[in-house]
Amino acid sequence: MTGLSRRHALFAIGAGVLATPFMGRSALAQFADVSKEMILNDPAAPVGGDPKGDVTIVAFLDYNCPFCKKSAPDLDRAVKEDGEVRLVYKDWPVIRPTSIDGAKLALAAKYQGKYDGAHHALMAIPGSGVSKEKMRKALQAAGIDMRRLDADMKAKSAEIESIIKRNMAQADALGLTGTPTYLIGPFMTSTLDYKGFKQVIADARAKQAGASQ
Amino acid sequence: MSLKSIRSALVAVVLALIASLLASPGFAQVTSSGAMPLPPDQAFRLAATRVDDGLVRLEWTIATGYYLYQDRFALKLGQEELAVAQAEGNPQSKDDPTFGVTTVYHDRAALAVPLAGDAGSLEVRYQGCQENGICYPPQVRHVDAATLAVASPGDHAATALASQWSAPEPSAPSSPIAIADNDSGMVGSLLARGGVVLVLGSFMLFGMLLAFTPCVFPMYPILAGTIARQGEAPTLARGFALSLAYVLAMASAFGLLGVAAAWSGQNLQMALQSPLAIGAVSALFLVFALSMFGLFELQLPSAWVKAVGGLGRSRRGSLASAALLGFTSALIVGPCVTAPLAGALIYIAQTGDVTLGAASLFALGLGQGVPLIIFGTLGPKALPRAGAWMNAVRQAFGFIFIATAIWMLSRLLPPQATLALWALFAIGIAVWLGAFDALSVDAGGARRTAKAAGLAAGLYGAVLAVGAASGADDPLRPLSGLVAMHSDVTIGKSERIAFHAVGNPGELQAQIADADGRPSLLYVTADWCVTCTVIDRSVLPDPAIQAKLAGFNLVELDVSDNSPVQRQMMQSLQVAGPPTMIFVDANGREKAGTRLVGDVTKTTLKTSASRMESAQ
Repeated sequence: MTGLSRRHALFAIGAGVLATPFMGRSALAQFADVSKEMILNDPAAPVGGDPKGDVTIVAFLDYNCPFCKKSAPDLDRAVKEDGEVRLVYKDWPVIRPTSIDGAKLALAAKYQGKYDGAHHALMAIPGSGVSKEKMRKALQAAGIDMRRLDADMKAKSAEIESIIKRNMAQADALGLTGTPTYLIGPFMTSTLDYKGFKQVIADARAKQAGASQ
Repeated sequence: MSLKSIRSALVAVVLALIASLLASPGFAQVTSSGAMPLPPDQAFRLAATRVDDGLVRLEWTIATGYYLYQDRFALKLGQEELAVAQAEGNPQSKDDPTFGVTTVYHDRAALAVPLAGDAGSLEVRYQGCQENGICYPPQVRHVDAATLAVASPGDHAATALASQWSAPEPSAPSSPIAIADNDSGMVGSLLARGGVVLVLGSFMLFGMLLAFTPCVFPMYPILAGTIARQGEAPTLARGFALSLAYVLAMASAFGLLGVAAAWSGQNLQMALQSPLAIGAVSALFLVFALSMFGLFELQLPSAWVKAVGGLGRSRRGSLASAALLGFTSALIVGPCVTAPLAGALIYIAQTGDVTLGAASLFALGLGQGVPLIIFGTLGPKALPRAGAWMNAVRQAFGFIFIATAIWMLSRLLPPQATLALWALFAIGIAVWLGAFDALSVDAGGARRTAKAAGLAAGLYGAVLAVGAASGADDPLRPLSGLVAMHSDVTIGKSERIAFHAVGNPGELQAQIADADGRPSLLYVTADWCVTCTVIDRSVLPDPAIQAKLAGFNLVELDVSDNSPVQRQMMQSLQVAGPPTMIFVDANGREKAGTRLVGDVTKTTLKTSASRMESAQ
């Protein structure tokens, strides 16, 4: 599991938040998480779009990643217009130390049913190296119950951290080089614009149809 | 300074403005293919060399299209963080709309690090991104002080799992031309710089500059006619109210273009170039003309009249009809595609932001209308006071409306038939000017001048009629058919260079592939496109232009019919409408920053052609 250890090293440099207790966890348990099934259908991963859609997009994103922010409206538009895309959010906080704060805040909002709102509020903050305070303000403005959020962050911290760790392990196993990365059906892609999303979604649908015949 | 040179100067200003917006960083290299970026060690190749006993030089070779952040270099020896000096290289300030201002290095960066040979392992950290694309996590490498070998702390090869996903197959290209990112940045860039206010303000300014192009010219006589229809010399306030109604309706029509583009994905202005719409509008102008001749008083439906409240019935009616003319003129009479219009339509198509797109277009229309409002407010002062004169003025504008109707019909009719209509028109003017009325011996100078002008018009009408009968089609050379009969010299309509016409993506691909390594110029045109006519008459026949374009494979896409194939091709080429000129290299790739939209001048065409050549 050398791939995992490298990413963990980077991760620890950034924040040191998910330090040793998790790094020492059973490598076997993590290995079980790094499967195609868990990448596509991790029950803990937030899902947007049409949960029963025929094409799945797995989006590996970071709240300090410029292109993630730039392409967020394009992705939303393509998913909304298509109507049959299932969008799985993978918070993969690797760009800056505060990326981890962002990922934890967004995942904690899931417990009040507002991951989507939190995700979009964080993606809408321009810039890289966004401070935690700025993120909290944006979440508050987006109507997130901050008291509840803090309570959930505390109570569910192990669960939230294990989702992030799973995402990181999956990204490593996939050999992802950076953010954004989108798995769209059978395709692995990175910087797409609106037209690109539409095109690859269409291609993915065509390929899936071809494979099932 | 002639009107023409003022116009070219203004157009040059607009183009310079647009060019400066497009040249802004951040619009250069958007990748839409979704292709995966380089692995970090190829994007940023790190090598270490020993300068002397105490100094090691770290050098990054940065792949084209990638950059490293200045503030993300870090060095660590054991547990000790080392101070990082300013890296060598060419630091550049990067202002990304979403990213803020940062200092970055392109091509190469180097750090000199005091490091003795026995110091052990130096930990080097750095971080970078792909231009307008992916960002990498911080990279960590270990440099051995003795061997200078660069090592990665962990093996980062993907597991077999990664093979479950593949890069997107390069799907059959929807267009044989790989387009550069062109106008889409205009609205976005303005938005990032100054918010909505700057976007709307700039579009209003673009509009004012465009008010002096052929797109807007037909609107001056139409507005003048609308005001003259009153039958009395209008006051300043009245002239202002009427021209404001006209302009607001025109701007609304532009705004509606944006909404329609968002809903249907096509340019409504182009869709309205159907024979039915043109026929209906020609008929409308004819009706207006007849009412100018006093045949009947034009009454608009009472519901429309009521909608424009606050004024007397007839006044409301004339405001409503001014608005109706403003609306139709914007959509049908002067269907000009200009760079700002194309920019806004493409912005809407790409972002789906109808509100801002439509508001920009409304501001563009308002800007185009400012000179019209000034003209409509102050112009009538030049008209004589009420009396019999006013009748003559009304009738004169009646002729202008008829001329507009014929000009619009010329988009539908064969040229010979149009010529015949012009013949009738000229003869009608002759009769109206009294060419065939007997002059009394004591007739004044005015009557005599009118008769002379009338006779000239009658003669011209007769010549046009002969021309039409002999198959000529140019009102300025009605006898060319007869002349050609008697000589071997063919007198063409213009000395325009020959373009290869293409009608579908396959033909376009074949034409571009056939260029023998030469770059191609794709000219999107249509026979109803006013600006294209100007380009065909005064830009393309120019000898200097012909010489400049000799090295190009010239291809023409005529979108007059607005057929589904044509629409699809325009969509894939991101063309909002004609005229648009696209420069592509021998491999079918458009050169960024060379596309010409709207009013093409000799200067802009030469500049784009030179830029394309220099890239070869």
